[in-house]
Amino acid sequence: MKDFELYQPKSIEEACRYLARHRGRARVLAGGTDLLVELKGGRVKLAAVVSLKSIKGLNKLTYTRKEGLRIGAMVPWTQLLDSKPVARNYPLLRKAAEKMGSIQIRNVGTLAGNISHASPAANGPIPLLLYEAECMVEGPKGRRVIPVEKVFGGVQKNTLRSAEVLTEIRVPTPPPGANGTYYKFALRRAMDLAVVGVGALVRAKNGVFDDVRVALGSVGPKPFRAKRAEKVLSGKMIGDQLIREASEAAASECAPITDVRASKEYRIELVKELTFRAIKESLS
Amino acid sequence: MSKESDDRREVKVLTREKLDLRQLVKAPEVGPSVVGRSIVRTDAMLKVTGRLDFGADYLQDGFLHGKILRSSHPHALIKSINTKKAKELPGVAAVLTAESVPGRNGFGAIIPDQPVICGDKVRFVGDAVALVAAETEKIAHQALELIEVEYDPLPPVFDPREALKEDAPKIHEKGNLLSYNKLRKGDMEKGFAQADVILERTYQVPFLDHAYLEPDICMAIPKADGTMLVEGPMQAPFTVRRNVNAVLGVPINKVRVRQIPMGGGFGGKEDSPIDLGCRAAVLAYHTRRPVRIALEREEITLQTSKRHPMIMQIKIGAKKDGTLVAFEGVIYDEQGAYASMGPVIPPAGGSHIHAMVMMPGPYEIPNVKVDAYLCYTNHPYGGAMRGFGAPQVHVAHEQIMDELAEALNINPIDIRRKNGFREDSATATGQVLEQSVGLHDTLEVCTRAFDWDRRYQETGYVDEGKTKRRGIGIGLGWYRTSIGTNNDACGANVYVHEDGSVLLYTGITEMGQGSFTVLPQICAEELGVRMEDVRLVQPDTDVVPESGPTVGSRSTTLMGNAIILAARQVKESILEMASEMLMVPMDRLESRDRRIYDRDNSGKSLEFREVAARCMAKGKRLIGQGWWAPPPPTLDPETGQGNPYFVYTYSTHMAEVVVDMETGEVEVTDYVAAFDVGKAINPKAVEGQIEGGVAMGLGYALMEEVALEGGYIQNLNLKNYLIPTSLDVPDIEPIIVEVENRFGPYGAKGIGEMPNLPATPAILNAIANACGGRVRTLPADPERVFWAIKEAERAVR
Ligand SMILES: Cc1cc2nc3c(=O)[nH]c(=O)nc-3n(C[C@H](O)[C@H](O)[C@H](O)COP(=O)(O)OP(=O)(O)OC[C@H]3O[C@@H](n4cnc5c(N)ncnc54)[C@H](O)[C@@H]3O)c2cc1C
Repeated sequence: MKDFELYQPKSIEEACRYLARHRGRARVLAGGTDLLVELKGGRVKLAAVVSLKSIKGLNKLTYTRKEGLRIGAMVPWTQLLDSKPVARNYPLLRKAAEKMGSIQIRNVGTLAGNISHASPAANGPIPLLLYEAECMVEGPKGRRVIPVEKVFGGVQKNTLRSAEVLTEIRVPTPPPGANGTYYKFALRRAMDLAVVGVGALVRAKNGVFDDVRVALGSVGPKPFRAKRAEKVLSGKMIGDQLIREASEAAASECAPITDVRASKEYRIELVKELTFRAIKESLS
Repeated sequence: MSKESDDRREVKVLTREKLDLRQLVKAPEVGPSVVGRSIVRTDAMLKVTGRLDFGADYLQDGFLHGKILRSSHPHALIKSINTKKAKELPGVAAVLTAESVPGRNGFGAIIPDQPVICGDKVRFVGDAVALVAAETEKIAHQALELIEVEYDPLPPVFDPREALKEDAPKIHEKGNLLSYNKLRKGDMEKGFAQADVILERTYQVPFLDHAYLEPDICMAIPKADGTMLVEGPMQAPFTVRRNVNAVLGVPINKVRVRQIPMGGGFGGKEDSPIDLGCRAAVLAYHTRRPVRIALEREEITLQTSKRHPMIMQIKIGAKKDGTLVAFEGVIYDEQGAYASMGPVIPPAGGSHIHAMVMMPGPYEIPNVKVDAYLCYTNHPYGGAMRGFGAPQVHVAHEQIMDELAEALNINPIDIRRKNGFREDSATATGQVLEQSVGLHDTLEVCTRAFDWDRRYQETGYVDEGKTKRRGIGIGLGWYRTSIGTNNDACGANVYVHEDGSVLLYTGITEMGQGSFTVLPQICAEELGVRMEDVRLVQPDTDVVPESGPTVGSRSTTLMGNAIILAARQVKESILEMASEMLMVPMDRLESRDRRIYDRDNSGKSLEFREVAARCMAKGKRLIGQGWWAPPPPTLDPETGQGNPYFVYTYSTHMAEVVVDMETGEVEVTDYVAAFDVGKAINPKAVEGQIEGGVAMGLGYALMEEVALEGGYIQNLNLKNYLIPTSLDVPDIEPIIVEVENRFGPYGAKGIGEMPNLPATPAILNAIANACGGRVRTLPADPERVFWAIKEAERAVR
């Protein structure tokens, strides 16, 4: 690991200043469970690391029906797992937290870090895409809001500007009556990256697909909403044949790669089957 | 610490006489003696409380940090090395290249064909081209980056079959065929002529990494008197010493090797401490300062030994009723870049010949032929890994037995009942198994405990959606105790002191398997003292007698016998003295639980320590030295016939899996494993070996593989080299069966390596039973299972 400057700012503005000073050669440190791995591997070389640990208020997790869930940038996965409002209103986020690494990783790793890291295989994006969350971002030029769908820029690339910090993730209350599920398909039962991630959130009305959301991970440079699949279903009568069609459509939106974990052909097969199952399970 | 385990789960120990197959009896657990009791491991508290110091915890004051510059090519000539810039870096104490090695520039467990530092040529990406010692690890890293090496790449060889071709590039001067061995029994033509069914299959297994928890570390400390002290976690201190002395060019007695607590080895820490020991010692020799080399996880994967990959071809013939008549096997055993533990040590040592001997499985087959080729390639090198050539062939013979059973429409357990070894069976090498053959006992006990017959009827879909199918599978196994070399022997010293306390000296190491508990148990039992009276001395080549390596599931049996012999020498003094003191003839005296008493009049007794004190006062011998070697091994190099190993452990495993038919995902849902261990000196410790071994065998079946591309390893750390987590391992029910080994201490035989062997094929067979697809190239990860299912479905249509 190369030497770098470590800053421990007390406010977001101060953090942004340090990031701006080392423009492009500085990164934010949350739990460090992604960043330190990259630094140790030598792939990422930095002049400065800006820790968010000393900034008050970033570990807040609040929920109101009206405002939905607000997740501070330093809220670790364990806090999400322990939260009653999350368990009650955001079962898919809870499932993502359950399937996240190990206890040690969950104790320090954050959802904000997971999203900022922008790995296509990550747990966090799937529920956030389905719940249509928003990222609150603060930088030298002020604040802005990025819909979670727009925050992923490519494999391990986010769309934040270089001196910006993700301060909070806001998750609106899911549409009433919607049901969903999240599958993390991996090669072993814990401590592994997803070969394919599939999530669905479905509301049915009178035997018709009313609101359908499907999100996919590990099958392209970014996690994404499978819009084609959603379109196939939306407003149509519920039926297995149709869901199969939608699953095929979902597969057609994927551009997976072959790596040590699995081939792209296999990933496509998994998307077809798991999308079908996810929608079916969401309906039951 | 000698409290018994408070884990109250039932330990099933069944002796042959007690083997009531209608009912699983719980054997009476605790006798009055020390042996046979589940005494808590002597290192348990230290380990679970974190108070035991492993190598990484040792003080680093005054140490230089050694680092290794490794090859950037799998096969290349070294044109030039420029170390000038690295040497000039402040904080660098030494930058060494091949010519700096003072003695022999080569090491190896069997043949010293691996350069300490490569001079002219590199043979795999883990090869060392330069060594650095620096004041800090960071400076050492920086120095590595400053070394300039120019290579002339050579065409590489990555497949053992390619390596055998005449025009293949030569990896070593003598060529790529390191060993060719053969086994010939009976008449193959006649054999196959009797067969109603003949099956031909090829099975393939990849390189595996041991993935021991503790990263390798080694410390070399030059002493003022010219002795080199080498310390580290290691399984074979004497082999390390034998290499370090040659590499330094000094006599054996100028090297002292001390084993320190070891966080897992699985055979891997037989080789790597030789490698690190030699390299650290050379750095220490040049700098005259203590040097430590601590490998990082990626370096371990790159540099250290692996389980040999094999391509195994089998042609098997059987009669309609399942009787085996002929077995023909070919093994392409990939050695990788260096000889390590592969080649033959006569008559039957080395992993390659072991694989050949074991290949036909624990079955009586009149006509057998095996040809086994051990080939160099430009891959990492194969060494010892829990089973030493046997896990691979178990994958082959246990799968073909199931494929055969299916072809003959016979229940998989019946075909094994028909052919499995019994007392007086002859093995493929013509060895008649005269004693301690509990294979069928394990088979029957396991069948009952697992409820095989019922479950065999109940396979099929488990869910309404018809996506998941249940299946069950069986794997039999056998494994030697001992290593099949002529020098396989163990020495032990037992010192009794005037207060009755005991020191036990052995060269057997503790790597988590429990030897440091079982060996003192044997010593205490034989002397008639309590467990807590015996302290075991950490192996140190200056202090303990030569004991060979801690491998081959040999420790409890061979060392146990040596300890008994040593203890008896002392006990003789003690009983002689007690006889004088009590005025009771010696042959009526018994030593037990710290007391010496008259068997016919137990009121007449002395305390063990009183007698020991009297011996000391009178100048009577209180030290014993035991030496034990098993019956000599034999194996004809032309026919592969003989008695390569003196006794075997037998086992039956049964697994239940659920396979997702649309994704290929496999869950192992239930598991029973029965073992004939001769005698369980410490039943809990045996259980521990069984449970850990099954987990390891499961990893081999389902997920483990060193992924190689063009000679480069793709999964260098544990993020991508997957081993099972606790969530991947089912509840395992271990059953211990005791069929006495006439040559073993209290009837014991080996258990250490055995438990992972049948686990892998039991799971593979269960997968095939569940989904109809068979994965013949490991690992059976979800993708391979998925495509196997698709292939099977196509075949049906
Ligand atoms: C053993 C292990 C197991 C793992 N298992 C999983 C798993 O199962 N699933 C999974 O998805 N991931 C897994 N991970 C990856 C990692 O733990 C998660 O992505 C985690 O949520 C990252 O959070 P962090 O707080 O540690 O991020 P950090 O490492 O601190 O940061 C990650 C990246 O995001 C940036 N960043 C962090 N916070 C902010 C912010 N507020 N604003 C702007 N940029 C920011 C950092 O600069 C860095 O580039 C695992 C990692 C390890 C080491």
